[in-house]
Amino acid sequence: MARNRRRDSGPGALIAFILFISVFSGLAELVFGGAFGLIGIFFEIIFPLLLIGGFLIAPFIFIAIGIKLIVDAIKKRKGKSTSNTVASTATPTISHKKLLRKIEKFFEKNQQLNIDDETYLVITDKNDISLDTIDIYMREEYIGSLKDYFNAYPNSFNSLSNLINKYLNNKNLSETQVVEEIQKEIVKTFDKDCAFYIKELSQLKDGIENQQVTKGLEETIHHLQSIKKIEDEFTDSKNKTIKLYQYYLPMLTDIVSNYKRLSINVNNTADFKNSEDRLLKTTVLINGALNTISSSLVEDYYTELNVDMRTLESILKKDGLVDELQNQEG
Amino acid sequence: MSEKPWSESLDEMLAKLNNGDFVDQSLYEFEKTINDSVLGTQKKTTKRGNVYSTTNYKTVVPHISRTVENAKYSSRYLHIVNCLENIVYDKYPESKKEGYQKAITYYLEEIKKHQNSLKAFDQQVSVDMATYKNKVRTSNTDDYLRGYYDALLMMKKILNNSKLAKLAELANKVGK
Repeated sequence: MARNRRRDSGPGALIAFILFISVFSGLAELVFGGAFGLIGIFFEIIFPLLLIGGFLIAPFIFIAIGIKLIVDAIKKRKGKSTSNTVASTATPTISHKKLLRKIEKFFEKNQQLNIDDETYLVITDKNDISLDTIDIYMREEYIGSLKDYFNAYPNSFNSLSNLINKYLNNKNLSETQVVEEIQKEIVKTFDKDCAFYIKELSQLKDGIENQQVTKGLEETIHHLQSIKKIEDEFTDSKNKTIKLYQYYLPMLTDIVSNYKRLSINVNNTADFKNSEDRLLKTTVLINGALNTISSSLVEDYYTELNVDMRTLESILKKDGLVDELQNQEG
Repeated sequence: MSEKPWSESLDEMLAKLNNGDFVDQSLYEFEKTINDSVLGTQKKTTKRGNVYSTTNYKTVVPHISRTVENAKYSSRYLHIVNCLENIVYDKYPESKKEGYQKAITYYLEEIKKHQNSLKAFDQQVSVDMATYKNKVRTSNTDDYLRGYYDALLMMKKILNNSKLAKLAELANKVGK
């Protein structure tokens, strides 16, 4: 055995070892040499190319950002918004005083100002023209003053003011009424339901910076979601909430739209502050009402449930099943 | 038990807000006012142990039949007359009911005379409200008088709602 071992560690093994080392170092040189060669190519050719490209493209990126900022600033100044909901409301507003002066001038020679073919304005006191002394008539019937309209739908009032202004600016007054195309979809107002207002308010909420306002609107949306759940499950409850969709929520969305319009055209800080205060207080009021409604709906729901339970109980009693259940529980 | 509808309280508060009654109040003060009012809430536990909030207002007042109140009308006049003709009294105290009905009958006759001059009718109701408010203050034990005043509050609410309905129609026409 010892003789054999000595034979194994002879010159053959040494040659094999040298060969192994040579092959290994050759392979290592090939692999590392290739890798470092590639890194070398990257740093010598590709990296400088990227660097040069970056220097060439960077100015264009900065120019594009600059253009976008300028365009946004111009849009903001002109009252344009990226939000679809507000876009239509963000038209320049004519001031009340200016509008009243124009209306006063118009009424010097005219008896009534036709809004459309069934609605018109008349003044009640020529010596004191104000929103309070301009009455709105619809189908020959008094429906309120311009002040009432402004209070209930400030954003819609703004649109009407712009239409009247545009109409009165036309010196020839060839048109007979302010609004030429009457929207006949009056029924649409009453089709708007909880889901519609959840969506509408969620959209309107976006882009409002004042956190008190967004918090208030989030609470409104939360209440509406609760009401929707009850309405879906307990369909009779819908009778109780119709007024909500007919008057109060349209009013709230109109006030929010008006607030957003003013926040874009911050020309008159006092107007904006008033609008903000009114919106915050209206939101508090409506949230209070929504809370009351949802509580009342829950009460009704439980009452209905109790009635159902009593009916079930009497049926079970009649069939002699109640005692059995009570015994089992006992 | 018939409770004062939430919409009536909301109408009253909205009218005050539009009137500028809360202009000097901070938002915190306004919230407190609302919480102390009919629209404020308190916690209540049901028999089944579920907790929910509810209004603390439990005054019995007549109301308008819901289908009539929610219907759509071509004119304010029809809206007002229909509401006045469909008042539900439920458990309204008999002692007050007489005064209430007397007022409703009177205003039904009056509005028929004022069909073409609703503004004058609105103004008349406002003046009568102020008068009866003072009367109720000075003799708050007279149930007939209190009934009459309750009817005036209902009148005011109907007039306001009929106005809002038509203004909503106009807002819908004008658009945003």
